Amino acid sequence: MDFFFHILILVSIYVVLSASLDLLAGHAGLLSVAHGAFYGLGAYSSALLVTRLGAPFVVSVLSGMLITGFISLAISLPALRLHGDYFVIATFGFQMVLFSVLNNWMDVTHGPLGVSGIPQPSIFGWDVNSQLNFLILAFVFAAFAYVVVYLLGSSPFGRVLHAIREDEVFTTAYGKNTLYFKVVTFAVSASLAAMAGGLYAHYITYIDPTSFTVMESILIISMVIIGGAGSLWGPLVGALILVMLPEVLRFIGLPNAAAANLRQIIYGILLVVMMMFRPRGLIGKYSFSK
Amino acid sequence: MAQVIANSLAAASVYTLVAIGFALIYSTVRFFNFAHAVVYTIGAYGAYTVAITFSLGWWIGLGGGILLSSAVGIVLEICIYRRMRRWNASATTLFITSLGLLVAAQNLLSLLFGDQTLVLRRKSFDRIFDVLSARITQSQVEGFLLAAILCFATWLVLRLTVLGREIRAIANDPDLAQSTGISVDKVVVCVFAAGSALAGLAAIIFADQTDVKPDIGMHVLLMAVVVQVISGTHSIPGIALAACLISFLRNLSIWLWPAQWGETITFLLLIIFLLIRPQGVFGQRSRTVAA
Repeated sequence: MDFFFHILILVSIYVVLSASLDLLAGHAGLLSVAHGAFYGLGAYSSALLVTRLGAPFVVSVLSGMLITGFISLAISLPALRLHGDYFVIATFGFQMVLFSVLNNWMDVTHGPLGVSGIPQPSIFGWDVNSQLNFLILAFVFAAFAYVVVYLLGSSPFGRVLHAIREDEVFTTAYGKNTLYFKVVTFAVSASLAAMAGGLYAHYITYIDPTSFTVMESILIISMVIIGGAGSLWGPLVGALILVMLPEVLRFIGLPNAAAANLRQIIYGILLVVMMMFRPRGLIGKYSFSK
Repeated sequence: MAQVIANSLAAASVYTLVAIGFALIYSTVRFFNFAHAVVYTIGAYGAYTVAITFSLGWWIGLGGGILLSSAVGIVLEICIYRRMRRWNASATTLFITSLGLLVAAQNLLSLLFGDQTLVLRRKSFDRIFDVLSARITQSQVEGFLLAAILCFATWLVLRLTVLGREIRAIANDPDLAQSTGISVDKVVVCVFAAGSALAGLAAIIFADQTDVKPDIGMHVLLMAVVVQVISGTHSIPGIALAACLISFLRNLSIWLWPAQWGETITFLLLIIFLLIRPQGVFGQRSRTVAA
């Protein structure tokens, strides 16, 4: 049963990640390769706040989200002024830098050794000490992210995002400050990814930089795209499929190391096949066709 | 200081080779082909297989690696990118496809060869020259010369041959080029073949100075991207100069501060350029116009 819970907890964490990326990529049409970096930033800030300063769970996750939101401005403000392509480039650069800093800044992050001994969360006296408790917590986080993305996506704010996605010049002509909308969306999306990071750090209780590489970013992009960008349930379907995939591979008796590679080969090919034959994803609405 | 300059030149020659391929592909098909990173890595693994596994020697390995990279580039273009361009796939769609190819191929390499570091050196002993207080290895000098000759050759091809003129025409305006009777598909295949071959060569040169792992492509790709943004052009002297500049600043920062900040300095350069001169040092057209 614990194994089943474990899978559902992972699905919940990835639902937070894919839903938040969908807000950016599916609703605003801005593809980011830095989601793994923001996920890592959230995980590291909350883990360090807890282990170094003894901050409580809620405080550490919230501060991680705030820190990440602010750092996201460093990329979005310069890059979003330019043509869409250059946004992708800036996010890729940030992803590479963040990994390098996590991996090399020994004094703070312990480099490849990672941060260990992250305590189990305790929220206002509720000790999250079993798999079932943690599943409830992760489910609440996933639901929160989904509600935020849904409310933003269906609000007037979201309509402006959709307009930017379809035709930015047109939206500007209607008097909307498109830079403002894009920067805010980017910051919200990044802080939600940081929330998933905080949750992940407290669940695994040990983090190291290898969980937050550019490959992780591409995994999250694949979830959004295979499920379907810009739709309500697409990111959930994508996260479900791609988290289950390695377990299925293990079930048919592949050794762990080969399964890890094979999983990535399969989702890489899935991504290519999707883009060639069904760019909208399984149940998506938006196909990056601009 | 002499050491910083020597290391910068050695690294810049490799970055230039990769960036030329990346920029040529970008200028003709207008999307960031991230699969270039794995085409680069495949060059090194191809050379390793030929030179070490089949023990045919380093030079035959060099040829084999370059041919393999080039072949992979051609296959990607003909089987995937060209089909997608047929139904007007957007730059983002093509970019995501290249991400998928990157993930699949890089993991295929680690499945086949394992994640451990492989050694692909031409000589077991590297001679060291002392020039003006700098220590320069023989492989650095030879790598630099090889890269410089190939860059110059590519530049000559672009400037002097009919193919070069056609590539430049497509880079300027693909529709106009097509309407004057240039076969865009054929030229694009040539660009993929040449660009990928240069990436493979760069990987083998770099492997002679460092080592081979399945993920070596990502760092070089980042450098190629930054070089392209900073040079703002697909002209080869522009790319080479930008590569020297970045590589110098990077090595200088490693000399002055702890090495972990090297990547950060590169990124800061990228952001500074995006903010104050998005068209790059040598570029003219504004990139701020959407679509």
